[in-house]
Amino acid sequence: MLTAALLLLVPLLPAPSGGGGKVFLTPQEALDLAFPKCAVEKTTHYLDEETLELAGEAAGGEIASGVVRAYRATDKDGALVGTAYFDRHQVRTLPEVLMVVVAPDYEVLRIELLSFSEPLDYLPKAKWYGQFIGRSLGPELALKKQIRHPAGATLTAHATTDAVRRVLALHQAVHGPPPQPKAKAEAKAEAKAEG
Amino acid sequence: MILNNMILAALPALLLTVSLAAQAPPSDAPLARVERRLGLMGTGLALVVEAPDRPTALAASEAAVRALLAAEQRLSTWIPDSEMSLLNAAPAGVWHAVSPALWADLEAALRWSRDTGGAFQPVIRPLVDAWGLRSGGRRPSAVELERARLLCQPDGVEFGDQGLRLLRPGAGFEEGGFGKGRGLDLALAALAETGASSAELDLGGQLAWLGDAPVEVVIAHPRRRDQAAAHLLLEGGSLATSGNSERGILVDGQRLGHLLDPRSGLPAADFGSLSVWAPDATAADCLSTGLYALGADAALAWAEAHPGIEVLVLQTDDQDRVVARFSSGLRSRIRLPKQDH
Repeated sequence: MLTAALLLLVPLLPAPSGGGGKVFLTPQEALDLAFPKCAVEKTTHYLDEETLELAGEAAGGEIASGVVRAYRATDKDGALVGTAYFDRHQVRTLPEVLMVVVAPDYEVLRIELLSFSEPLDYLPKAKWYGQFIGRSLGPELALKKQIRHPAGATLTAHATTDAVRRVLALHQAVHGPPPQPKAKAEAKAEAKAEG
Repeated sequence: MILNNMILAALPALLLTVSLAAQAPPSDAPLARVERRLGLMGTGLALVVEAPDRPTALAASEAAVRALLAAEQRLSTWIPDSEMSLLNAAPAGVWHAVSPALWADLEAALRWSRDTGGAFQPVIRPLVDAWGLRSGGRRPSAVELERARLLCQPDGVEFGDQGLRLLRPGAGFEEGGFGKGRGLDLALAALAETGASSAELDLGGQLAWLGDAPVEVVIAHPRRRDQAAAHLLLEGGSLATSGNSERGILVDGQRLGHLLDPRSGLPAADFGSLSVWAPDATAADCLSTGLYALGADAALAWAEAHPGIEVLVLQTDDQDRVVARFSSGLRSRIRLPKQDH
């Protein structure tokens, strides 16, 4: 079981420390690009031990911090567009930062790599990341199940999959259980009508 | 001078690219450069955008992303209420109003169907379903196969004042052979409109460039994808590669390719990989699929008859040795590494 070096509360990008790493976007840039013409509200949630433990069980791995910072984006009519989280974790010995945007129906709406400090040949092909789009938290959201194992890049694939599961679990911990199928369909239809 | 040595491993087909673009900006002012990597269209996008300043480069990069998302929302038949899904579900023979964007998408794809004599065919959904390509694979009966094949004919679509209509009940479009290319063309247009000076996009392995800076692309061995089999020096346009190394179906213990030949209804013969370099991404996408179905010899002959479109065929033998064959326009652009055996 991987212990997450979760720093959802730290929206700062570390500079890659050698090894050919790269900063792609700052968190603010990523938010601005993901949520154009939206109001983005930053909220900080403090999970008690029990909730954190349950979130860890849902994520499939211990979650180190119970402080969760979420970025909730609403459109001009106040409708929820998505909630973004920044997950900073270790790949081998160096950190990676991902932005995961959770849709109103609790599915992954966007996943974007913000910084990667390991050598770039540790990165999976870009197309690998597309497998997370539209996925929700469940036992199938795992490598060799819904998520194909990439050629090489094993450590990053594990770290990324763990991060997505962690974000989805924390989203549930903060916002309650996911909407039921009918409510999900309505949420999708509403989001589509909005834009 | 900007040196880009980013590794952009690629496609269902075996692309491993090393871009070594060197482009002098128009003035002494350095261009701002934005690199992004995100999940998109059931695949992923790696893009590099250069613009006079970072805000412009960021906005241009997102314009490209939004163009791709819009193309996906319109074309994906995985989305039940996408415009193309609704067209597929419309009664045969009845005119169906479509947006100008979908009209243009399908017109562009059907052009390459005509130009390849039906070897590329966007109206191929019945065959995709018959072979179970979206559900793990199955072998259709001869009757089922012939019925599906007859539904996938190039003359099965009509464009008219009132929209489009599919003429045969059960026929349907499948975006797999042209959706990425079409999305890339729209993304490049969005980049240009929003002030990008140059860009390189890798959408699930298909590459497309805004600008014509020289780029070295490494084409991977069709079966040993971590090995380089050819290096191409290209300028602009788009490069798409088709092959069966990453995708395929297992039917009755037999591995079959996912690339179907609409003329026979059968999986195209597996000879290795085929790369197409074309002025636009839709052409490269459609043609890499269609020319693969034609086969290596016919594909190369086709390219010689179509100036501006170049083809590289990597044929493998039983011992995984590769023979590279290419259209004459690649002669001065290709470098082949020595093989180990």
